Amino acid sequence: MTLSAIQIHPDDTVVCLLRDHQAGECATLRTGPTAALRSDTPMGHKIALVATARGAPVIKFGAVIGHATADIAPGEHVHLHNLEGGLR
Amino acid sequence: MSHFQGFPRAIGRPGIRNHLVILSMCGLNAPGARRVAAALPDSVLISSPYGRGHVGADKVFHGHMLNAFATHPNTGAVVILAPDDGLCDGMAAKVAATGRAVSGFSLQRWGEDGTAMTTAAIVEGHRLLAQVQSEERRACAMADLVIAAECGHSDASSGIVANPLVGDLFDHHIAAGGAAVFAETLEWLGCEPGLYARSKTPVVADRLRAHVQARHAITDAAGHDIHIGNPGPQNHAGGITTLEEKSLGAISKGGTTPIMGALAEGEAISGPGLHIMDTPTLSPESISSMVAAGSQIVCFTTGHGNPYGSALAPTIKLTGNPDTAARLTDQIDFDASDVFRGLRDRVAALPELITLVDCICNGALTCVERNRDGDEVISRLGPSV
Repeated sequence: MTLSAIQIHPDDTVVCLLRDHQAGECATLRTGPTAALRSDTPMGHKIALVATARGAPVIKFGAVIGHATADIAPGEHVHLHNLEGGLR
Repeated sequence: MSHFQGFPRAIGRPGIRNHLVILSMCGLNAPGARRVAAALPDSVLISSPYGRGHVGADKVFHGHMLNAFATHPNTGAVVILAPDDGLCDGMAAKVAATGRAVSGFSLQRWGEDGTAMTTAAIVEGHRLLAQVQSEERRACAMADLVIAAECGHSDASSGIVANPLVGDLFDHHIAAGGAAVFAETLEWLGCEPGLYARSKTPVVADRLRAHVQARHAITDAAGHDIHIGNPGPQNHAGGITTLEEKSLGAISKGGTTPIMGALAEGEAISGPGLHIMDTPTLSPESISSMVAAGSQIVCFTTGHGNPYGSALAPTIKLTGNPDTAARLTDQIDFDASDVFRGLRDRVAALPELITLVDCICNGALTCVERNRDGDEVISRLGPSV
């Protein structure tokens, strides 16, 4: 089985794509497939592993990397449009 | 492996190498020192282009770093080249006190005859080289190993694969009683609160806070705002959204254990566990500071490639980038691109990395050693007068 996404830390709410993905595809984690992607998403970018409510923390590397600025569904691209850092 | 075959020292941690160091203490000696090192290709040249006109903390730091290299665990013997008897004999005494063989040459003692002095230093260097090369490796505890981590020319694969993999190695080594260190203060920005929270004691957290504030003061004084455009458009295109995320990718090479010590640049690592050092971001300065602290081996992650390493501490080059691994086969020691390509999980790569570290501690050469791409650099903390 070729993995196509990686969950860096067990607590992470997002996973990183190891190649470009098309909308409708499921990424493959060691633990199994993710939810279907909502949009085309490039390599290195993040998709949500779990539903994340607006205002909730987004976790990567086992740490908070910012908070959701909109409700995020599993499989959705997580980037500038729905995630904001908390410190600057 | 709980042991490796290395070089126990009368004082301090064991070496994984037994280098003859050609130590040039001052820029006045640098050309002569290069001739000595060229005549002794198996020696390690450590040469400062400065040495006089330092003042205050800069002067103290320069002397500390030279002393740290001369008495480093991987240093077996030293040929000192100095401008005057005071510098020469002072350093020779410090080296001799650690049980290492040392020969000092000062221009003052040689009547400022650089040619004659260099010739004599080469003869003496041959004798010391034969001596260090004849010493046999003996069993040393792996727990006495200090591993340093550095990243350079990073890309998306660094934060996803290579850095967390080195973090896994740190966690493994520290669980077995070892010590480890990572550095580069500006790469902590955005995740300082997490580092303070991971600090073992409030004193460690306060020192970290002071280090961050001091680097801010340097950039502020220069009229430079390190937060503007950070992360920048390239980071965004690569999938990095926030500053916290960018820095967490960099510091993921430090693993997940509590921070036992917050060190000033080049400050010795005295105990086990994870340490974090205040250094500039340039790899030569950052790596040399961690080597001066006592690190015998360095893990250097790269995205696009980066040939540089420490001269004293074998430097393992790791990449998760498939193109880099395929392109720079003579410069990458550990190819983790199969993790990035999804062919195996990161946890499956760790045992192989542990085995590589073990082999290198026992004498296997790194790419940097084969390519002679190692150097040591001493940061300047202020202008000369």
